[in-house]
Parts: sequence; C-alpha cells; structure tokens
Amino acid sequence: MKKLVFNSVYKCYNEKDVIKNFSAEITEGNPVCFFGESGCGKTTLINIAAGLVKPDKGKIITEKIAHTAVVFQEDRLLESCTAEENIMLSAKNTELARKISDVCGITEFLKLYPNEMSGGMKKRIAVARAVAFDGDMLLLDEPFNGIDEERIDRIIEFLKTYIENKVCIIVTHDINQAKKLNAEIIYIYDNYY
Amino acid sequence: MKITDNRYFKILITAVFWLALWQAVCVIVGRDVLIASPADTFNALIEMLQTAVFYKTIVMSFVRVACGFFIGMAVGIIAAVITCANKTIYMLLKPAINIIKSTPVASFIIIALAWMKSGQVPVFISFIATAPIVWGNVSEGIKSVDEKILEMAKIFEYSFSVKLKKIYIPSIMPFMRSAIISGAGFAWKSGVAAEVIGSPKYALGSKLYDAKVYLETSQLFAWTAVIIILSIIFEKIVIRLVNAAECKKETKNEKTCF
Repeated sequence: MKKLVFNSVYKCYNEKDVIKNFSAEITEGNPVCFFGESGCGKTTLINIAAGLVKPDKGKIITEKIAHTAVVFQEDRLLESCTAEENIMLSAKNTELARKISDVCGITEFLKLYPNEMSGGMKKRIAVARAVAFDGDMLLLDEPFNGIDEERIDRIIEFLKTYIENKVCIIVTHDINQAKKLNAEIIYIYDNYY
Repeated sequence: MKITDNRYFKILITAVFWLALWQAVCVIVGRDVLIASPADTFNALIEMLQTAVFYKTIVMSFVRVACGFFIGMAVGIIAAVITCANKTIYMLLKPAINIIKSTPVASFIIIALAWMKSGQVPVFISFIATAPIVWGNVSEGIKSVDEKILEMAKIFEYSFSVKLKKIYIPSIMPFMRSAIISGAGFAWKSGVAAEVIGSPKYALGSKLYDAKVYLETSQLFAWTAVIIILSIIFEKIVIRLVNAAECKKETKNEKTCF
C-alpha cells in the first residue's frame, strides 16, 4: 500500500518554528486536507511531502511512492509554452491528459499561452498537468482558486475516483471542497495539530 | 497623412540638415586637409567603389570581425554555462574576466601583435571584445531562471533537453539579444582599431591609417563612412539571425501534442 508518513517533523524559517512536531500517516485512497489560517505552515508541509524542502528534524517515510505530482499555489506554468505543451511535457498518460482536459474545460484554450489566460484558466491547466503526470502521490496546494463552483464540483468528482490508488493531500481554505473530496481534515493552528 | 509624418521624409530632412551642417563647418574651417567636404568624400567613395581592392578589403575585414565575434559568442556562452554550474570555476574565472573588461583595447592589440600575425590580431581583438559581454549577459540570463519553475521541472521529471529548451533558453534569450547587439558593435569597433594599429593587408583599418598618413582626408572620411555602414549591416545581420532563431522556436511551439 502506498503510504506517506510525517514523523515528528520540525521546520523553522528565520528562527521561527513553522512546523513543530508534526506527525501524520496518509495512505492511498484516504485523502487528507490540511486546513488552517494563512502562514500556519500548510504549504511548507506540502513542500516537505514533495521533497522540495527538507525538515530540520523528524522523518518523512514513503512507501511505494516513486513519482509525485503537485498543483502549486502559484501555478508555475511555463510562460514560453502553450497550455497544451504545459500539460503534455509532464503527461505520462495521454488518454488521461485528454480526459482531464475535458473535465477541466480547457480544450478551447489549449493553444493559448499563460500570459493570455486568466488566473482560473491557469489553475485548471496546473490541475490537468498534475493529473496527466499520473504519479503515485498527488499534492494539491489551493488547487481551485479562481475556478467557478460548477467546474470545481466536476473536477472533484473526477479526482474522487482518480485518487483511489494514490496518496493525496489537499490544502484549501474552503472546507467544503475537502468534504466533497471525502478528505480527512487535519486542522493546523499555531503549530498545534 | 501629413508629409511631415512620412518616415522617409523625416530621414531625408535629417540627412539634409546634417549634410548642410557638415558643409558649413567645411566652409568655416576652409582647409581640406582638416575636414573634407561632403562632395569630396562622396567623390572619393565613388572612386574607391570602382576598384577591386575596395571589395577585397571590406570582405577581409568583415570576415575577420565576424570570426572574432562568433568565436567570442561561443566561448562567452560556454563560459557562462560552466561558471553558473560551478561556483569554484566562477570564483577562478571572474577576476580574469574583470581584468579583460577593464583593460584598454589598445593594450590587448599591442600585446597580441607580439603573439600573432597582424592579420590574426583583429580576429583575436573582436573575440576579446565580445566574449566578456556575452558571458556577463548569458550568466545574468541563467541566474534569472525562476527557482520555482526549476522545482516544478524537478517534480514533473523534465529531461535535461526539455529544461534547456523550455526553461533556460527562453530565459536567456532577452539577455542574449542585448549581448549580441552590444557585442556586435563593440567587436566591429575593436576589430577595426586592431587593423589600424596592426595594419594587415586588405583591411579597413589599414586603409584608414594610410589615408591619414598620406593626408588624404577625403579618403579618410570615405573609409570611415564605409566602416559605419558595414557596422550597421553587421548588426542588422546578427539581429536577423536572432529573430530567425526566435521565430523557429515559436513555430516549433505551435505543434500539436494531443
């Protein structure tokens, strides 16, 4: 079974503890939502899970997780590439790329460049890119900002099936999105979990 | 549209103004040996155009400067990649590049004359003029690559060639463009200066020097005009090459992936 374990993780920035003694075990098919105020360390936890940031103390244990896909808070699309290229450069599964493009409603603007898109459009491309990558773990950091409610519901419906065999963490300010995804909610408040 | 809004009319008016000013200065100075008139310069140019040596001279100078420039570009790019990848090499190379940047071109020309044949000196000097500019700008371009985009590329397991084509080259291109434009101008000026001092056969700089020695002021002015025109042509060619490279990149981007 695919598994991600945070084992007494600490992380401090500028001598301030951002993450203090955080522990959690996340298994495939059981999505988890990190919920809390801005600046409480949710994105840091996502970055630690993705391997982009090393914890100061504690351990990250993964089992059967070789590839991780991330929907970053700031989209991080390639400005010199069209929406289609942004998706296809990461896509390991073309069929999945087609399907998620349809679910995200991006088929009409696949030829556009990021600087020709709205924030919501870019976010949908970022979601499609992460899904098309088809990793063992999916990390979603504020993945639905700027996307309309109806579209969010369609994407969540798709994700519910898609993440059945994946480890998934979502960071969101909207607790209803986490509930719709059937995610277990971990409240993060002043380093208290 | 008013006639004064016409681009060609504006160019004509500007040219007439400066030619009139040039002629006025000639009349005031009144000595051909100090300043040649526009008419004398034009006549000298027409005479030069009728000789085979003229064409051989401009071709040879053009080739020398172009060789130095393109070698300088290649070395500048390679040095930038290496120094950005390895901080120790950067630390070792930086003083050398700073010394090259602050050393007068004339010093390099004199030193180079002791090392190589006079025909090779302009190539070397154009190279020395171009490489540090390209190195500096390309290094800036590499450093300007967004760390967050590199993190994204790591997460989505982009290959080296994809990172190069889709992340590094688009970031470097604007810096490269300004390096090429300023490098081309500088290479041309330095190359001709090396020809003046080294006086190789069939060289614009040598012709300039000969005209000065024999007090042929109208020829001196005519050769200067030729150098300016060639410098502009060289810069335009280089800009076209950059534009063509960018267009090729955009056309490739239009390919369907789905």
